[in-house]
Amino acid sequence: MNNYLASTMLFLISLPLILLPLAPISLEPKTFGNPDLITCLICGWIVRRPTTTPTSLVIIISLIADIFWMKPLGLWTILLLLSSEIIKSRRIYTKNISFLYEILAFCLLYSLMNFGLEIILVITFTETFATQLRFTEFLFTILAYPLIILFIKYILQIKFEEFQAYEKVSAK
Amino acid sequence: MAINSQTESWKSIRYVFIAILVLILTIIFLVWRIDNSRIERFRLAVMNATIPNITFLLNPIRVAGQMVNDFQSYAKVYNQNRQLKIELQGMRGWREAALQLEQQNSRLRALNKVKLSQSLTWITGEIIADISSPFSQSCLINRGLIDGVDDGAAVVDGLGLIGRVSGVEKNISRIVFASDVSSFIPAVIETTNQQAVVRGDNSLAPTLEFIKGATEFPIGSRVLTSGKGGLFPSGILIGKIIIGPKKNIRVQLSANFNEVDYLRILRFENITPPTTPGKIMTAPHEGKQSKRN
Repeated sequence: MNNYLASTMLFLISLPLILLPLAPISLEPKTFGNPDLITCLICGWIVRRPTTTPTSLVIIISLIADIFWMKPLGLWTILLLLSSEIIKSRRIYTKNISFLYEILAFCLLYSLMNFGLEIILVITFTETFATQLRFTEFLFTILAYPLIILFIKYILQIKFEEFQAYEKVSAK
Repeated sequence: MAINSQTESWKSIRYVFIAILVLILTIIFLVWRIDNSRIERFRLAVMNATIPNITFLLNPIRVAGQMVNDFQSYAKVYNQNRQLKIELQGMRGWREAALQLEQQNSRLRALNKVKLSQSLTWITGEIIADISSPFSQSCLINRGLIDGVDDGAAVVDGLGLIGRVSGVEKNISRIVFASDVSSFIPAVIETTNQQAVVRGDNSLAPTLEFIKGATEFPIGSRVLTSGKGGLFPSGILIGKIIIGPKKNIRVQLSANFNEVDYLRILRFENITPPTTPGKIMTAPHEGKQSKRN
């Protein structure tokens, strides 16, 4: 698939994922957090297209999510940028990775991201509360990841991309 | 070989590039942490430009959610009916009492020649987005500066206090609920006239703290805003006192947070927005407001 077309598609899919959770249904304090579908989408996308996903696009999407989801501005974007770089640097190993291993790797990465988030929130004295809310958010995100990669794989038809041969040689 | 060295140098350039991006984002985060009100104003301005235009996207989900809610309430209709009958019995007695009081009241008012205050009016608005997150409990309403919403104004539904306005833009304003952790509302217990503060803790029953005077509380008595602090008018119903699971004193909010569509923003002439650090954020019209007051 054309790179520009794929990037546009990623952007256009991420917008409803950011905006639809804002629909007002009930104003009661939530006991369950919403899954962070943007993180799932971006991670699943980069695993499949590590060399052709623009970094700027990842930052823009994540910043939009930070703005609309009332999150600390830029904080989750830093973590997502770093973890997307980690995925890109491991692209030799994540190519054609099996379904189960991909989910396990995402669990590990997402836990690390949340750990980093927690540390930064404590260091900067940012008020954190609603532990249950954040824990369910964490859990639902991990549960949502398989669905998102199925969506990417079968509905959007995004395949693992081919790298150039010298990259494989240099990695060995 | 030549290709390899080229990719190596490209890699190091890329690392520098990523480091610069992380630095920029860190600065953005630190600015958010230090000069929060400015960034929040920017955030609200972005929402002002987008959310009123995408309500068509959010409405189908909202309608579906309401249908689910309605369906759940149909399931409970038998129990509700029984409970309503019991409540109706009680209400008949109260109705009689209210009628007698009304007559007495009007008689006394006629004796006193009381003129009711005209300073309290309200604006009704519709909720257009639910922007609650683990960091704040708030929503957006489709009334803003052009409708005359004041920053810091009290927001009620038909039954009781919902919260306050925190941040006004041209077409929208943000409402922070009384259940939010940043919400501290000066209150008064109706029966004993004790001053206290209702402090949000992310539940529908915020805690009642800093209670003046005696340590015995009339459970079930109503809690109203006291008007101390000058932000809220006095006498708005917040809720009634209950005992929480950990034996702490809580206020069960009267407002129905489950079925809210329209809210009323009270226009109270004497709003004095706080100006010290930690003030709630104010739209660019800050200067005009303070002159008017």
